[in-house]
Amino acid sequence: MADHKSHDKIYLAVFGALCVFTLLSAGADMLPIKEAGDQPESGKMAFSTPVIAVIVLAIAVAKATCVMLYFMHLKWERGWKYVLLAPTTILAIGFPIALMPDIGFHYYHRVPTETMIEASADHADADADSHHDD
Amino acid sequence: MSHSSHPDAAPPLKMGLKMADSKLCMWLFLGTEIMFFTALIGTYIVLRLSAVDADGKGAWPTNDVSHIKTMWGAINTFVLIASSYLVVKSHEEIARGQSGKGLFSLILVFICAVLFLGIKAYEYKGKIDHDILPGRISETRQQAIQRAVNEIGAVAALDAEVLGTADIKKRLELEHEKLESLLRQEKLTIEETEQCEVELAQAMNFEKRIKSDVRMYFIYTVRQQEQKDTGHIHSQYYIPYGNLFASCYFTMTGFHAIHVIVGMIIFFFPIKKGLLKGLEKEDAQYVENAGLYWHFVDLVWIFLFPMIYIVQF
Repeated sequence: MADHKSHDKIYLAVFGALCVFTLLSAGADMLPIKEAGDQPESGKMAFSTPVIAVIVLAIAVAKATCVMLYFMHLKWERGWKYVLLAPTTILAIGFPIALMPDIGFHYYHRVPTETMIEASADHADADADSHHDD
Repeated sequence: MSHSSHPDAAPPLKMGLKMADSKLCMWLFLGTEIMFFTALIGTYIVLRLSAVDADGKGAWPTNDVSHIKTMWGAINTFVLIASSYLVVKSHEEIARGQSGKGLFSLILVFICAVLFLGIKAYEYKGKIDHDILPGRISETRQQAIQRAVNEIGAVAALDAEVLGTADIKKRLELEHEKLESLLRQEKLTIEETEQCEVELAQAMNFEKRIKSDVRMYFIYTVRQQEQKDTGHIHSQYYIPYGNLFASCYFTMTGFHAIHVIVGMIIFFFPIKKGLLKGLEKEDAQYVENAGLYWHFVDLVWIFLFPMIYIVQF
């Protein structure tokens, strides 16, 4: 059971950290995105979209850890937390991994659909415009 | 069963964990909730990674096209984080016997929940206004053309019904047939067809009807407005994987919003008690359990925010 010492200062510090993390996430959204035609030697600072995805998801994990450890008192709880949370965590991570080979990694031979072809045309248009905002 | 009736036959039942039953129940419930949202988010990840173009590149609709504004997501994240902090603050205050302060913090939590839902409703309205809804989005140029052709047909039928004289009916039918044919052959773009349609409507005095009945005309006017206001068109006649996006968006954020509403109901009872009779130290356990649920709602949003609003590939 959680002890009943006052955690006021800790809570305030965690709240501050969560606000900073949120600002960092919003800031990551404004990072310049590497376009298909960019040359590495051009000196332009740009990030590929998977790199930005890893950054913002890492920030999300840090925020979730703060909330669970301090706001949900897991830092001060006894061993039952592992018994309760370990199975759900394993299943939670296992679920998308189990689905991944079928769809995400395109296990079967892919026949381009009309939607895919139109999406390619859109990409070509976007590259031609070399326009990016938002 | 004589042996079971003996007073010393079985030891008295004793709780295995030194914690309130209600708190253990809440944690077990949260275990099921983790599985529920994991299924939603996991499915979204897989669907999103599988939405590719013919070259295998990611083709998920961008924020620009799907009318997602990161700023609103970030503000809502801040609102939920602030409310989470206020819940733990309230719990500490009630446990210390400062019931007035605890009640005030709880009321602020409730206001945060209302604010969150208000912003969400504003975002939903934007999607509805731009017709970003599951099953309503054309995903290919051919689908968009077919839709425009269907709508031209519908308008022609309506016009014929309203505009009595045979001459006008005949003229409208001919004009619509011409437009439809040009559109089908892609000699006119959808935008140009809509332009012709508007001119025809203006000439025949049925512009009001076309405004209220034709969705493609609506997109056409929105595009005109966007071009005028920002010089950049966001709304598209067709969005590859648009329906998949809309389904995922409304399913995930919708279920999350339902959890926020349930959270408001949970917080309503201690607020009511606090206002009528005043909160007691014993109420700290209820507030802690309610807080656990609320932090979970916050946790889900912490993952939904980057996955829906920020990640682009």
